Amino acid sequence: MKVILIEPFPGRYFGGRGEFEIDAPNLFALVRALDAIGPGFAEAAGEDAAIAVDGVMRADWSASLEGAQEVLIVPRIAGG
Amino acid sequence: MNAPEPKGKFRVVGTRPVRPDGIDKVTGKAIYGPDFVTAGMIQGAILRSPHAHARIRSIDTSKAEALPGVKAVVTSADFPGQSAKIIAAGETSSSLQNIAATCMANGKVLYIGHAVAAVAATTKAIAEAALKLIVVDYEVLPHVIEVEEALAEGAPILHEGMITKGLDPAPDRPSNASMVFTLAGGDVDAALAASAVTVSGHYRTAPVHQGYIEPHACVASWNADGQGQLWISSQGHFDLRNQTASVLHMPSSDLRTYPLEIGGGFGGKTGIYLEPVAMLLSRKAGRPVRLTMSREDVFNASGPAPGIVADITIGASEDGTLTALKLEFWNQAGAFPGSTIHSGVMTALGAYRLPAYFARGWDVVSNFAGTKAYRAPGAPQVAFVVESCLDDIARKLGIDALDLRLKNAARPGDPGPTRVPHGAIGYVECLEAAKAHPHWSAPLGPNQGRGVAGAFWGNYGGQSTAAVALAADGSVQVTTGSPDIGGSRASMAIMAAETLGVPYESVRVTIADTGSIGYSMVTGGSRVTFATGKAVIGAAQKVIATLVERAASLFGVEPGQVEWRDGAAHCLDGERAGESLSISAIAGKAGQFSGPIVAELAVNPLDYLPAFAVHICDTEVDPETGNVSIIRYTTVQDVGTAIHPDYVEGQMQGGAVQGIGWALNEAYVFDGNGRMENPGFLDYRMPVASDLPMIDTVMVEVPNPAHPYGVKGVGEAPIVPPLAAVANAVARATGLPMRQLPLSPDRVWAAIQAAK
Repeated sequence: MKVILIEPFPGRYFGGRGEFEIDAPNLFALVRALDAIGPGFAEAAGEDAAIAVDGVMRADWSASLEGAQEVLIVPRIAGG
Repeated sequence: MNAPEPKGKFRVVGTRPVRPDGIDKVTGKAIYGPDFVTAGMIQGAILRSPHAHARIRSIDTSKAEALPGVKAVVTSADFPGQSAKIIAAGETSSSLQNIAATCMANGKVLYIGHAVAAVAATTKAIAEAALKLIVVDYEVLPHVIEVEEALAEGAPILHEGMITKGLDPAPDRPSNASMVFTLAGGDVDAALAASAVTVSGHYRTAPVHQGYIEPHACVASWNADGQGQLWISSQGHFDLRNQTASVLHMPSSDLRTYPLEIGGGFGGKTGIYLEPVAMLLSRKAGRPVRLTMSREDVFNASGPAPGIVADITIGASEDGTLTALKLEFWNQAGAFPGSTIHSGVMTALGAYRLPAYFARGWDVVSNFAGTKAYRAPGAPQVAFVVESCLDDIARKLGIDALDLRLKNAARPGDPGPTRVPHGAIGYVECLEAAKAHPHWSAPLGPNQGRGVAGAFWGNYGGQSTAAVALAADGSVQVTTGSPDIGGSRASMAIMAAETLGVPYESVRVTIADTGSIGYSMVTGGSRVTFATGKAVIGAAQKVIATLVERAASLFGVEPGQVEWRDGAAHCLDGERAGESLSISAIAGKAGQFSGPIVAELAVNPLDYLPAFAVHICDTEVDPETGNVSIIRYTTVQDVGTAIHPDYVEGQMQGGAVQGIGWALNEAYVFDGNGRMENPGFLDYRMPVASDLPMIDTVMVEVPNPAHPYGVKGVGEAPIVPPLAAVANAVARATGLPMRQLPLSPDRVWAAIQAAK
């Protein structure tokens, strides 16, 4: 499964690398796998990340990723 | 007005019933933050820094504490130590250290108005007298206000050790730039070099305040058993509770927070300023304590929106197809990191198809109050830059400004700014509606000009909880945790009534305190009608399921043989086929079933859609004085489905008016000492009704298929286009570029004189 991270995550946790190939059963497991590569990412993701699976924003990180092709991790944006 | 009614498909959605909270508000009965009184309450006051940047050597509170009537004095020494931990703060997040330092300076003051001590006394006069007895020994430091000063070599550093995040390689020296955020795609320099035309510009806007009428206020009570209560006016009493409890190191459930009516927020009431201070005063005093900001405090010590400095280049082919956009902007973030660079970058890239792009925002701190969200935070400033530059492209190519935008507008399925594809968006529909509007082709007089600008705003969904309960007479109680800042009681009642099939008037909506319902995020991000609405609709559907089950028992049939329609259960089969039971007939028999009919639902929907808008503005410029008058203004917006069209139009008009003020008049003006020279509504000039024509509204309805009634957020998009729409109109009226806001008479007059 292709995992794409949008700034600030690549620069802050992955030495600028923004793409990975990782298989995981759900988003919690995926974020843990990413945290093993870039320590601190999991905590930051919990506070600041929004995640889209195959182009659709995903709220429930426990839902299965079976069949997913692409996960996109982007910063959450504030509103007023 | 172009109200989309009758809708036909809905019974209540799309109607314009009377606002449930309207009578109390217009008769002065509603209780706002500064109105609330509780038994035994005493008054607090805050001592604020007279320096823009200074180290606090010592604070002597002994004389204040000795003043008769004084019950408590608090400084940063009374706050628990804070970690750098990042905590959720509304829709965004911030470090506990900065959240606490916003409430009370710790070791250093970072702006004039920064809180340094607080007093609680039996009267406000005694509390204010006591402030004068507090002796603070400051070591005054040089300060910076403008972005260029803050980034200059040798500039005083606000936060020692702050290294810019987001640069590769990371800088090895601290600076006042806290972070950069960049989105890039394609080879932007090559694309610009190959473009038939390019236009560049250097732009600047000033910090502006949200301008809510009601100042920040709270009443706090910290009991001897460690539990506390807060009565606050805010955009999110759950999040303010969480922030306050985190700063005070207390369990969130020990702090019950009660929402009061809110007299305007616009993003500025999503964080804490007074609450932990009032709590600490209350604990020391053993009494409830009220703190209220003055208007001057609001301007000096609560966050405005950032000003920006920006450089942009846009390229296009001969036919107007955009080839590349290159933007770099620097947010004037105020005293604390975390201004809205992410949404600024998104705004630059959200509305148009761009084969190549580079958008970078810098978060730069300086010595005025830390900036906060302001309605589509970060977007209006960047849209001013992009939409002004687009107008220059249109002029250079001789293409109609709307046609240029239509040619390049984002369409459903196009990648959004973060590559997540756009869903059922309606930007093209908005541009077509603008072009068809009589305003676009109306003649103009001497010294008049017409400007247009578009807008993208991402919107949000997120966590909400709602409950729906039936009384024995069948009337309906809806309870949410979302403060009503724009008519959401009405929209929740409408959606509940539509779902249940009952009259609007039989539904009442309560905004519950934190002890009475589950968590809801702040009212912000244009999320409440969408997300909390989903919770209300879902809870109402659960109530219907219970009603059908009970009706089936009363009819003596299976639930599948009962249909819920028009607010009643209809028996479809069996001996009683054709009979119906009203909602009251079923609810009144709760004692013969398992209990009252109540359903609660918590949701976290992220299938929201962005909002798009187009504004058309006509201005007339007085060449003798430089004064700009708005003579006609039309707003067009994709609103999804307008649940209560009056309030949707109100949002569109309100956003336009705030944006016009931003374009023409509003700005923080600082003297050489970093003191704001205009901290009052006489000198900080917001538009009033007599300044403006009627703001026409065109609601374009492209429903969100992920919402039962098609809702999209509407509250923020309308403040995004006005800055550019006004500037483009003035540019066309004068024939001169307008790249610095506000377009005050002196600035416009100087531009006219310089061009002579």
